[in-house]
Amino acid sequence: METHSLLFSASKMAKRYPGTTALNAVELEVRPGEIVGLVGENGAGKSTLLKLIMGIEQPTEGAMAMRGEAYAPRTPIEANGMGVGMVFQEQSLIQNLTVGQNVFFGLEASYVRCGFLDKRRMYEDTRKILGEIGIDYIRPDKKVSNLDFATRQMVEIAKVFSVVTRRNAGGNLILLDEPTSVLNRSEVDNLFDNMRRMAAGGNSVIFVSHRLDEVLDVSDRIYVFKDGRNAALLDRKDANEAILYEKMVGKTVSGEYYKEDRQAVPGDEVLLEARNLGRRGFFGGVNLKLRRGEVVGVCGSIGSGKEDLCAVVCGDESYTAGELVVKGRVERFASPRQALKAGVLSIPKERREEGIIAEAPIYENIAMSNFRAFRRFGCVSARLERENARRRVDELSIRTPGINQSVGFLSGGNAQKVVFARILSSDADVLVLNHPTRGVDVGAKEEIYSLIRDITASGKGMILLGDTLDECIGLASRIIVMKDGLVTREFDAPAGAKPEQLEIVKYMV
Amino acid sequence: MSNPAHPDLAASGRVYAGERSRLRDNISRFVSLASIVALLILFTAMNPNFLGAPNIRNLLTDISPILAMSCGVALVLLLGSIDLSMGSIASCSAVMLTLLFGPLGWWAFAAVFLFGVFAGLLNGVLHAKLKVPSFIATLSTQSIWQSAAYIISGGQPLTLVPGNWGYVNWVRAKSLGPLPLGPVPPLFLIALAVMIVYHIYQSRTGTGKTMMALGANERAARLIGLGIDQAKIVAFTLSGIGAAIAGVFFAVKLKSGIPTVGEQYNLIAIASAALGGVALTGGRGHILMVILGVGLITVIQNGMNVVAVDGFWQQIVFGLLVLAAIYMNSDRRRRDLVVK
Repeated sequence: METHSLLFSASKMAKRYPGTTALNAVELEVRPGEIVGLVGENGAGKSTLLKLIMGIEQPTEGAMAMRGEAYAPRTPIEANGMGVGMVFQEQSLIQNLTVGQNVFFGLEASYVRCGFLDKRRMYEDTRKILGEIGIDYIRPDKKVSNLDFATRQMVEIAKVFSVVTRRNAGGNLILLDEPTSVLNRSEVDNLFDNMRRMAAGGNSVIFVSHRLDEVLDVSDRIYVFKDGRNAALLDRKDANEAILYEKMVGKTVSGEYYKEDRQAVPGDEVLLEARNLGRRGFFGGVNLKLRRGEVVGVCGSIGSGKEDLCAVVCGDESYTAGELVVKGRVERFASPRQALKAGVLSIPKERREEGIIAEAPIYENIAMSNFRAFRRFGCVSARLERENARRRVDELSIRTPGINQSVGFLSGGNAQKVVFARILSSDADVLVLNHPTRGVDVGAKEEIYSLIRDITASGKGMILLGDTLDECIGLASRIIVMKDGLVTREFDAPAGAKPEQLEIVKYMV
Repeated sequence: MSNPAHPDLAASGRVYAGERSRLRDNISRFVSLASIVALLILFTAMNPNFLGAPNIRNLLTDISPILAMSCGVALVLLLGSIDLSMGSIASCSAVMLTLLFGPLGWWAFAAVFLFGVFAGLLNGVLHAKLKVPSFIATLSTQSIWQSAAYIISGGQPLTLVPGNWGYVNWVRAKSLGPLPLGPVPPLFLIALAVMIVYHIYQSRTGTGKTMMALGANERAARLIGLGIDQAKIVAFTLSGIGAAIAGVFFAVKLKSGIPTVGEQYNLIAIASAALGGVALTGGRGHILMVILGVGLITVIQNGMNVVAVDGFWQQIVFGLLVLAAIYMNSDRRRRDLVVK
């Protein structure tokens, strides 16, 4: 086989979406037999880059090369053909099929004998493949739905591995996007052994993880991304967690960025109180007080229960233990509508799926959480809706050709501002912000921070799940840290005396 | 392995749904209107009596019950749900009205109206509160009301006894007080009023707007704080009322209560709404445009009679037409073409 000093390279890669730049002038090189770690905060561009490499999306700029040849896949199948495979964050196995059927899914034609599927031969080959990456304890004829998550993850890796190695003997590239989030320690070790074995066979791996210790454990070199750009490239021997973390978040962002000087001093009136609040199987024993003008940040990793706490507070889920008190009344919301009547409203995480009606015009979206306020003669008046929308569009400087525009046309930042406009037009004074700056470009982020300050200055209270830890610290006046469904620590975060990120991280992991 | 149906892909494809769907709305309106005009010309050319005053009166009389039903079912379709029970609610209403004139007199109309409210409410509660898919819920109630219609009528068409004709003679009125109506039958005016009321309700009240929002994106509508269940129940109730009104129309027009009279109209009503640009996947459509769909279907049915197309062939033409209409309106980018 012809050898190159590089297996894969990407240069000047850029990906722009309407209104936001996900990736800008990114460089990446992978040598044969190497495990490359990729780290960065949410929205740093890791997943975007993987999508470009897999041909799921096309780069706006830049070029890639595989084994020295130009490489520009248009579909994942094309990428597979060139020896590039990816294990997705979401499990993509078909649950009601067996392990063997999944591994050879779409390739059954080569196992047909006399018009019937030769399952025995297929399972034998499956056993071989599983053996190659050291998981031959899995039976090929077992249904995937009967396997635990970790085993499914291994099957998925085996499947990807078999797909890319089928046409190319060595020198393939496997992308692993957060493969360890559902695995326990010994399973992670097993996975790493397999990754090293693949690498020893001349294959390369790009490994994306939020867990820095794991990246340090298994990678040969580590790329750090920040805001869609390369922030650093480190050899394993030169890196440790503190260095990586600093490169990921950059210099501690100045308080100015988060408008710290405008952080409101909380009032005395308690808007919302959680007393020993719990939801069975998700979180428990949460005590929390939210006062007027206060932003309470909730920090924690995925699965810490912070999302579920949010869902309970805004009425999307119900609680099973403790009490939720809103403005002095014990509440048990059956729906977000009831929560809204009590004055609690959320900015959901998945904006397009949960926060807006993409097909409806801007002015209707803005009025939706409070039709009552726009009534005249018993009917909702489009004129009042429009007047309000026009005012809000000016106030929040939403960039749009007009208020009759469907929200679906707007960029992430502007669509998010429409959500804020809707919330400002409602009577809610307890706001649950779930990743309010997710998928929003830097400029719009600053405007949203400023908006958050305005809203708290007007006496409303907020529970905030920051898109990044930094953001959470920067915006919050108090921070609770959750881990495995429990509150591990509470920090005060007054302007000018914010806690350190590493201090908080200690209680998250 | 790489999964081509990766969720992010679907999301990126859906971003620009707005413009295309607006274009499609306009196309379907234009096509409906243009086809009506073309067909009117065609049928008139084949038989000059087609646009004579008597036949116009026939056309408008035929349109009336379908319009009342279509506007009701259009609201349900906006949710992304379906109502299959309208036909049998109409049959039941027709039978009940015929029988109730005796004991109740004019109050029979109110009683049948209340029946429509009840039947629609039942569908709505089954769907919204008990979470029964609307297809199943209304298929079941359809069967219930159909049987009820047979039981009440004893399985026979009931004729209105001449003593009670006084309650239905207004159907043939040629004037509204001093105002001459010309070829416009009173039934059509009522159906038109139903359409306008439904339209105003849908576009000008919170609950009505919620129907549209929830059809477009139920998850978002819920988190926005809209009253999802209420909107669903009201939509089904209005659909039931529309069906009961259609049943009343059938009874007063025919001076009899036929227990199968509404049967074939359920699908005609749904097809009319779809022809009028209401998406069967929900979240898109305009109640006032439903009249175009109803008009088109009625013109075709009536026209085929006037130019004497064989009855069996009529059904074939009709079926093809409905297919074409739904094809033009279906949103093929969305993968979830499932009735909720």
